[in-house]
Amino acid sequence: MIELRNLTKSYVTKGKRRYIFRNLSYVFPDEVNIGLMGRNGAGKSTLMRLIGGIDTPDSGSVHTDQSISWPVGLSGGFQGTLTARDNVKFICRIYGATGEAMFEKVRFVEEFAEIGDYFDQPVKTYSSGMRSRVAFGLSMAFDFDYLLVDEAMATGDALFRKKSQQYFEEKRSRSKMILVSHQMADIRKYCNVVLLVHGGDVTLYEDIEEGIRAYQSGA
Amino acid sequence: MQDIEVNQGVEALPPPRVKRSSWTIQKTVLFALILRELKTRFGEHRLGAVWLLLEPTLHITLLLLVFSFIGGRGFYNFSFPVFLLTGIVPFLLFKNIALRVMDGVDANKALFAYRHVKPMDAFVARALLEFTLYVAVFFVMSAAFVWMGIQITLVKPLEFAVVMMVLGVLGLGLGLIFGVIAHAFPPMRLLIRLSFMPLYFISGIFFPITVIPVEYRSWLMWNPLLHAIELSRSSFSPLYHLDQGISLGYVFAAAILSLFVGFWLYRQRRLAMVAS
Repeated sequence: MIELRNLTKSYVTKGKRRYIFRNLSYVFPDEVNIGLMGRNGAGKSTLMRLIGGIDTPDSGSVHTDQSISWPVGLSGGFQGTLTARDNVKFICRIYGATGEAMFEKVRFVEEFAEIGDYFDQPVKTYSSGMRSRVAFGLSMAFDFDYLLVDEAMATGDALFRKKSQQYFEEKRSRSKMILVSHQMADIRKYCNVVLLVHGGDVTLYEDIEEGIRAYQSGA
Repeated sequence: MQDIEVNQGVEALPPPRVKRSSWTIQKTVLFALILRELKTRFGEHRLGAVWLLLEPTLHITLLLLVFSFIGGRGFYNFSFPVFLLTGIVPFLLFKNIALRVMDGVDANKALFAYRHVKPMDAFVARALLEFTLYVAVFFVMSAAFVWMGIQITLVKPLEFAVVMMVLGVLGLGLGLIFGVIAHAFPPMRLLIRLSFMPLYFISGIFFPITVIPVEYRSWLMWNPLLHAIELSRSSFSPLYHLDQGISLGYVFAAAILSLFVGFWLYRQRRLAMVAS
């Protein structure tokens, strides 16, 4: 169960406060893959970040008894002065993977990322491609009830994309997913319901096609 | 691309996961952060480790030089190096906790992307690490003194431990306050750092408060750090003459007060510190 309680979130742009959500309360449907849709700036990524606990609301809260991932492939979650290995170890520790489990996860990410010696260099020296390789590998190394996925899933060359896709399918079979996307194809392929974010509110469409139509009609 | 059924994944239950208690999570987060801080503090070039011992050594050497020129001697039955050591290390402990806690949010910003890492964890991790490091520095330097033939005896170990802990809490409290201020008004960071310079000269690091004329003493006595340093020093000699106004209660009150103000400010600003 994921529940939003009186969620309010605003940003200040050019000295003006703009509300994305104001006192939004909503209970997400269980056991389905949810496609978050909405226009640019409607707040779908913000909503996802709030659910993932990466961003914090002005007031109100998100309640859940499920384990929720950080956004898959999040490459901003690295400490630049540390190596990828140390970053992975840090995340293993906070998620309770110690000893043998940590060793395995570190090895998995190292093999998955295929960045060679750079794995032991500070992350701040990486190209964005290398960062996202490590980030994607890291997401694949952990199990969650819910995977948060924000649009562009796998970057890199064709070979890496293929491998990512393969792992992603395997992961997907064991977790539910909340996907933010503008791609109808992705929504059709991965999701069971559409949640349209519009004007600070959310509307649930049990029927994918209906949801996509509502999105396209500019709601 | 292979065909995927639309409803796949709905029936497939995720494997059962062990629910960790809040306390377990809190402990692992702090532990992970401390290790992470250790890595960057001593990581590159190992300079951090050298500096840790070099800084107090330089202070003591310089002060010894200066005072040998103006003919200073030990106070009471202290040899001057020991007198300086018992002043410098508590000061550095306090200063480093406060300043490193202040910079805790900026240095760990990326890690708040993981839901159970909060700014307070970074603050507490830094305070714990600095505390441990400077207690260790103190014992290493003492051992070095003994090795050089300078006598140093801890007469009241329990009192010394209490004073150091209270000083640590004071550092954490002030660090929290500084951290919130520095996050809200970044230029203040430099000002706060600079304010430790005058503090160095009025905290009794190289003089006992009893050498100050009585009419000025009451002004200096406002400074809780001076109380702490005098107290820490007195735990190394039964003959050390403490001014009547020196009190552990005062340092304790200052520590608790700063901690509460720090917590309160943090409470107000905790969301803003993580929000992007």
